[in-house]
Amino acid sequence: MKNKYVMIGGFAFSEESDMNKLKKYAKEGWILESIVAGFFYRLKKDKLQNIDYSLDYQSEATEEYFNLFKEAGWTLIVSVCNEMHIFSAQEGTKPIYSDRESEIDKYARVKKQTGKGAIYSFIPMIIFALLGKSSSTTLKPIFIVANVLFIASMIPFIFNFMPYLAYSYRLRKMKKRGI
Amino acid sequence: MPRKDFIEIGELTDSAFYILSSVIEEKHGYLIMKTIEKFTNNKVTIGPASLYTTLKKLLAANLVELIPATDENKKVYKITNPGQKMLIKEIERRKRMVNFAENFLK
Repeated sequence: MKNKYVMIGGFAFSEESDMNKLKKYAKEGWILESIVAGFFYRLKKDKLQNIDYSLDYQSEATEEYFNLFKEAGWTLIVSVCNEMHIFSAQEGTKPIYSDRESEIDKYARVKKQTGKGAIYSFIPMIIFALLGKSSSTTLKPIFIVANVLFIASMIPFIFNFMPYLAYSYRLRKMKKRGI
Repeated sequence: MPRKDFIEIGELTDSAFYILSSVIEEKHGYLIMKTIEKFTNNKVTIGPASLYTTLKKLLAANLVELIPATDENKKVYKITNPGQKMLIKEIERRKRMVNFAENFLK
């Protein structure tokens, strides 16, 4: 079976353009199958299809949640960390969010989560930075380890803080658009 | 600055208004969607994500409650007494709005 791998643009930054990209691929017969390694969409060669894709954030996704989507015509394709869910439906199916208030909630929820994540991952960063600083003159081996850990601890911070900024920006824009 | 929730303000969003009205008689989620479409001649549709999050909010605010269901897979919702009070208050508010506008259209 033929597969194709496409880089994920980042849900926080390019949700709409990613969903549109997937839609275009489906028109050429490349259908989203799963997400691999957190960075790539895996597409499978199939017949040409007109599909809409939607992303939802829901950390409390229950069986009822997925049933509601199914009954409304939206099929679950992939869930990431039981947190992000991508659904597909025949082109023209009514959107998963029908009002602005609940759509704002979608981003408010994930903004809060990434904000929390950013704070929690900031703490080890500070600790390693201080440790590195205080050991720089006295203990060379600890200094090196602390610095390596400091750099490593930046990764979760960045992966929470950057999306946090993106969601904040999006929410501000959404609220401004309303009357 | 946390956004004020519609329930805290004491007003219902349009979606919450439709959902709350439709569970005066107990219903499960999908039937709520279908009922709203049917009675509004497909003019109003509540998307599954909007329905799910709004129902959760209404539950948390004790405006609707879960009925012990016969079918394990389907949660059944029904309006509570506070929910009924809120709905009546909201109907009055919306009537006043419509009356106000109609004063000037006559």
